[in-house]
Amino acid sequence: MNEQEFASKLAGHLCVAAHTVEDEVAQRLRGARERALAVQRRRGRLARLLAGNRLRFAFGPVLRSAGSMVALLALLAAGDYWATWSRVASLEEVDAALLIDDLPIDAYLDTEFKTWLSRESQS
Amino acid sequence: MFALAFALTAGAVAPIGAPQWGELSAAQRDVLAPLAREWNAMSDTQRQKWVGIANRFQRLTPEEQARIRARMKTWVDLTPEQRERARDQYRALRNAPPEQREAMREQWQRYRSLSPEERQPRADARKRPSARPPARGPQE
Repeated sequence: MNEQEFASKLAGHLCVAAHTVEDEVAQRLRGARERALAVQRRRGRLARLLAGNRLRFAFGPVLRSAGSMVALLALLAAGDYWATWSRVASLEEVDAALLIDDLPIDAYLDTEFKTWLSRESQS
Repeated sequence: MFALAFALTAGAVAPIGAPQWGELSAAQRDVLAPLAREWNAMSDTQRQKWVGIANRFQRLTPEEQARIRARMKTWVDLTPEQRERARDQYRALRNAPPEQREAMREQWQRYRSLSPEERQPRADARKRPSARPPARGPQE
């Protein structure tokens, strides 16, 4: 008879015997089972707590560094976004004004015109 | 760590949406039609700028709208250096007195009609500073 067959037979006998156990014995058995389960629950909680603390101790500095890195990246991204937006807005304003101006583009490309203009206004 | 942060962010932030030609609205495409061929080759900043100009197009007078349409292609065909020079000139002249600004268009026409020699300062005007009496030296 191997171990599994033995266990199966034992379980069968216990099932039959459980119906013939006296009330007092059944009460004691139930109490013992509940105490064992309560001890097991406490040990489980303690083990989880210890594991959590170990993780926090082990990864605390890493998490803090990662948080700082994310904050730094966000700051850099915001700065880059603002600088780009500001440049686009400035270009848009000048180019739009230049394209609808009374003077043609050629007037602004001719560097001599400005000199001539200031000379004329002085004479 | 800083180097890594810079490396990660460098070029990672696209400028506030720079749409491809197919992503523009029908109204934007209509305004920007002269730039259709160059559009997808433009930088993100340029595209975003033109989108902004297209968005303000409807608020312009018909005369201003016609000017933009007529000048758009010329503007894009300029080199970046020429565009920057024109912007600098515009910024400098924008601060001129209002009466001078109003007369500038006529003055431009006059300037255009002059030969290169005529645009140079007149000889008598050039001599004028030397006609002044010599400045006295400090009295001792």
